[in-house]
Amino acid sequence: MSVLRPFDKLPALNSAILLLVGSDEGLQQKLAEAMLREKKSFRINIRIATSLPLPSEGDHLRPRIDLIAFMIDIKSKYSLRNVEASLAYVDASFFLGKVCFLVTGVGRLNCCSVEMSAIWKLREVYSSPVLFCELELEGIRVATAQRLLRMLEICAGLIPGVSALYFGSLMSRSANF
Amino acid sequence: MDEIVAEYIRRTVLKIPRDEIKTVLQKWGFLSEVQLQTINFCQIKENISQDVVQLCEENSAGIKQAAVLDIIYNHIYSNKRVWSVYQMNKTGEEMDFFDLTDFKKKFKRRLQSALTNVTINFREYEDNAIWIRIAWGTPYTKPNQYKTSYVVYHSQTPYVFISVSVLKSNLPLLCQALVAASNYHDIHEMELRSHSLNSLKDIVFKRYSQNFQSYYPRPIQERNVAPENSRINQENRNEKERIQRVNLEVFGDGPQPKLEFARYKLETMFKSDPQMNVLNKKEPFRCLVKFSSPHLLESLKSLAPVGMADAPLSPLLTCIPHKARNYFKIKEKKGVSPRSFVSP
Amino acid sequence: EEEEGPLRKKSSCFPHIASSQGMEPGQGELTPAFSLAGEWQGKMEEEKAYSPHGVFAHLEMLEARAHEADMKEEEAKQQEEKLARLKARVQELTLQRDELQAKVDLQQKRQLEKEGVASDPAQPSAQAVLEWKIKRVKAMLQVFCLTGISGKLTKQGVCFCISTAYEGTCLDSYYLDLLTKPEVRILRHSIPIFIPLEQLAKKYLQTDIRRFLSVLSNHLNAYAARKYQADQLQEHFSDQIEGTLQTNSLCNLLVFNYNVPNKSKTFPFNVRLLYGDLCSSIPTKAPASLAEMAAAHSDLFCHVALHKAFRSFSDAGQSAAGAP
Repeated sequence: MSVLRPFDKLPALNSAILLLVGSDEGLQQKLAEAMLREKKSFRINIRIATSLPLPSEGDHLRPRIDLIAFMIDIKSKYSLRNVEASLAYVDASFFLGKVCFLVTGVGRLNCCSVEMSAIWKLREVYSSPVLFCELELEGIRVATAQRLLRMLEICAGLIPGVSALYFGSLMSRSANF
Repeated sequence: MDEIVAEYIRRTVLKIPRDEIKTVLQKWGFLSEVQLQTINFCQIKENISQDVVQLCEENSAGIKQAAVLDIIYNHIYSNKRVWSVYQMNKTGEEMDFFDLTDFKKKFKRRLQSALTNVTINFREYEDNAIWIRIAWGTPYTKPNQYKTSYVVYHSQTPYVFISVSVLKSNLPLLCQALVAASNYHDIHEMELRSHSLNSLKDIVFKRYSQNFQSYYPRPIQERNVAPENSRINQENRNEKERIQRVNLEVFGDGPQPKLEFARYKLETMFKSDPQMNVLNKKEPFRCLVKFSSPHLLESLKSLAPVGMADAPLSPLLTCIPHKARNYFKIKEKKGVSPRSFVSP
Repeated sequence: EEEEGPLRKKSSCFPHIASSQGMEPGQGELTPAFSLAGEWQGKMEEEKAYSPHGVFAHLEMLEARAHEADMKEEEAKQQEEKLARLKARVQELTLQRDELQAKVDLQQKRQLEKEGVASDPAQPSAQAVLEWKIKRVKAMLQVFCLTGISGKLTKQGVCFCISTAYEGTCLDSYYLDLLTKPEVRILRHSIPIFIPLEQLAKKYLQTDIRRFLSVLSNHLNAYAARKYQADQLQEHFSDQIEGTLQTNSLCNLLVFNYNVPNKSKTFPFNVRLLYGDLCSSIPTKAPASLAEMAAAHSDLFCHVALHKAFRSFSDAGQSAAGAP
């Protein structure tokens, strides 16, 4: 099975590609649409996958991926297991700022079945930022879309002077305080 | 008219939602259309019920008519009761000309010979269903009309749907009467319970959608291959299609019968090296898992498509309609692999 | 009024500055600035009272507006893109159509020439042959369905479909999924529970599956026919039947009352039809009580379909009434 690498393809001009990995396709679709609706100065392409590795038949068509967002539904242990299994197919160099974890369903913590410590552990082990959101709510969905878009812009190298690695270390430092 | 009957009719009317009262009374047919027109159905239920009682008094209603009203109410709102399925067995293969009058006679005689104070009422519906209402008393007290048992029986089938009253002690008597009246030999509970009587019927009469493969001409659904938004790409399209296919194979494409829960009891022995002597008692570990949902089978059906479970679900979950039970006991087979499923 | 707040603030500031400058142009460097600050503060305090009007709230509102405008712009852009994409698609498709049209024209022309030259039958294209074959296979399948029993191989065995019919009317179909691997076994089915499937399976399934299917089909057809007859009777002759028609699930017992007009009198008949043979749609026993008429009717019941028998009664009644 093929491991996803960040630099094995050439980037396309003025465009950024996001890969959303998660088991709830409806939510992914909603988030992707919200991101498309935002104003941006570059072209984006969002690829939705339930798990990694990606099917090999589309390999040659797939552009270079700039950012991977793993979606974990806090209400479903299955989604966490799915993400954990998928992480094995990501090349280590992706974790230099090009991966983030999106924890969804935070609005309903009373139905929470994933332990927070498991999520903190993911953050530690993969040194990647964790974003919390409730995608069922319109306002938060838009805000999350904006944040992801900003991160994507950085990861695709479209903001001069800020690299994914720099941004990633900034995020992890701020999270430690 | 009897005081008890009047009060019983009043309370039954009060149970019906206000805008349904008229249709229920029309179905009842005890009050004439002219009489019904005199009732103002827009006032509060308390007043409506009093008007109805007054009219019933004019027609001098008895407990029989009141019972029929109760049957009609329970037929319409059958999901207010919990129904349990019982199966009857027969040894011979003799042909059975089921005669309704005969059945009624036998059933009544059997119950009344054991218990004098009992009210029994029948009502037939179009689908060959016989609804039986039984109000139980004791040798010294009158039948309690508020704690009734309901039985729904389809002629010539081995299944009976029983909704027991609070007074469970009469259940064996009821079962005996049923077995005798319908020419069977034996009856036992099937471990299948739900609020939805129709779904139980669909399950035991095999009317739920089972997705049979056949060449029978069926309209082929054309797949829509509209050019989609090129900015959002699905990576796992093939996988999604596989999940849909598997789901269709397991659940069919029709609506699922409605069940509210499924209960699994696990009993397993602790196995260890006999020399370690950790647990030499023969006491098994017990564990109870209960799945509940307003519509259990539909929610199981949508688990895989929304990405909350892997595609072929465990047969323990999908066998519910096929095995016609929602109470399971999982034991280990003697000497065989530990997680094998035994259907008792 | 709420939204106008900040604008009003500005307009009330400027006249103040102008007036102070106009009055004391020499020393008026500080005062306007002061008064401006004062004005601001005043406004701020005033607006603290109405809590949603703080500076941040104002900024938030502006941001929301900007966001909304951005979204609209983006949407317009996307619409444009979509339009362009669709236009391109249209162009592509028209091109394709034109090409195909040209091909067809060319072919027709050639064919005309050919027909003019030689009379050999036009060779049907591979496509036409395929279509014809598919059509034939479909027709065959339909014929199979008409026979009443059709089957399809599945992963683990066979799935049979038994379709019932009575006198040219197609009735329900029933399914039977069989496992064949270790031994022939019924996996699942949709056959009504009161059909003695288990007994039939015990008798024939392991030994003679043809027999099993044909007997089962007979049972189902007879059941469907009896049910159909009873339904027809209720539907079309309910005015002649007194009270309700009583039956059971298998429809092998029918009890009803009807009137027989005879010399200005009507005799109430009480009929009790027993269908002793579960594979038959004609009753085996139809006892009635009035001697001759009863015998005739009883005979009819035993030989003719129920609704037809009734139709003949009413016909007889009418002709009797017509002839004095």
